[in-house]
Amino acid sequence: MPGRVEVIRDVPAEQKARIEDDYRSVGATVSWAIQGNGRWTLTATFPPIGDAGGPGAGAD
Amino acid sequence: MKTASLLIAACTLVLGGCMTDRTKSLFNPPGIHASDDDTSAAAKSGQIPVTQYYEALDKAKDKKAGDDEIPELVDKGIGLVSAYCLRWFQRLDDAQRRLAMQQKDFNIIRDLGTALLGIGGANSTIVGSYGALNTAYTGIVDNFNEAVLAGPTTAKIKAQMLDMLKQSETRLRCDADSLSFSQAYARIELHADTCTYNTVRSLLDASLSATQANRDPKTGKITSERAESSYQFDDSSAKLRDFWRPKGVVDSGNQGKLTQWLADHGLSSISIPFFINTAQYAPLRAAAVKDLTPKETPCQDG
Repeated sequence: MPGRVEVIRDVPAEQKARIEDDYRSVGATVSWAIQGNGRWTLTATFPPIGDAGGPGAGAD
Repeated sequence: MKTASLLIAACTLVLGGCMTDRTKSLFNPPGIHASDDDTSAAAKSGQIPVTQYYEALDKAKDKKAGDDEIPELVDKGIGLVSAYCLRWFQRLDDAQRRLAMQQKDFNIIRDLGTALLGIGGANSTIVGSYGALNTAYTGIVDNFNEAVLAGPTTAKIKAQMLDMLKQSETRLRCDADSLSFSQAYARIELHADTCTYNTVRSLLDASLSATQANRDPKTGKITSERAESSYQFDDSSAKLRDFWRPKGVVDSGNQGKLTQWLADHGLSSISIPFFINTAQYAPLRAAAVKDLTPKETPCQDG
């Protein structure tokens, strides 16, 4: 069962790799969707509380 | 072949059959009011919330708002719902552990059967088959031990469900004195509807975490926290990211400081990347930079 979700809209394509790397470092799973204006929407899903990770947690 | 089938059936019955009855479960202690004998004291006491609720219902059905019988009906209704909900979760917990064990044991039971068939067909040595038999049996026991420790999802959903029931119960008790019989009847039904398969399904579908689920006691709507904002990466973002991940590598000490700063400012539910990369927190980022990053001192000549 996935946990909390964070969504960031209007991400420029050249920033995708950096943000995805940031989210992976805190244990989130990341997915992307292209918007009509050529920018991207990020959806980051954290493990449920009680499992590893979660917002504010570090995965390293 | 016949011997193998009989032995497999016996193993399955011994390890699995006794887990289907709540009173004889190996995964959990017997329920305090559970018994497979309807005439026992335990079984009779298990019926007390049901009996009391229907007695209260009978007394309240002709009463009006403000009469003592209505709050009494609400009280007994809440008691019955709580008892039913807890018993349901006890059965779910047993079933989940049994299922986990059965799934893991499928291959082991098959290996056990193969070993026994080897004996019957004389295609393997007795010693070899005996070893396989022992391995398979040991696997079943190991998986039983694992199954006993399984079930965190059930526990998490149960805690969330009981919290929702408590919220609903508090609201219902507050309103009890002003409800007519028909209103109380409907509200008890809505309260009972909290602890259902559909609610559990909704919890799973909404991907709610243990402490972030709420259910509106009047509408039944379930909500969860979801953070959403547009992208913004400014000068403060760059400074904070360099503080958190200098040269792209997380500095765990600084990460701890930033996490603590977010908690101190009521932002413990959002992640560091969300704080750094969104328009929503642009005003606060400047404050975080001021509090956390080294102060720049002007160059002094001579």
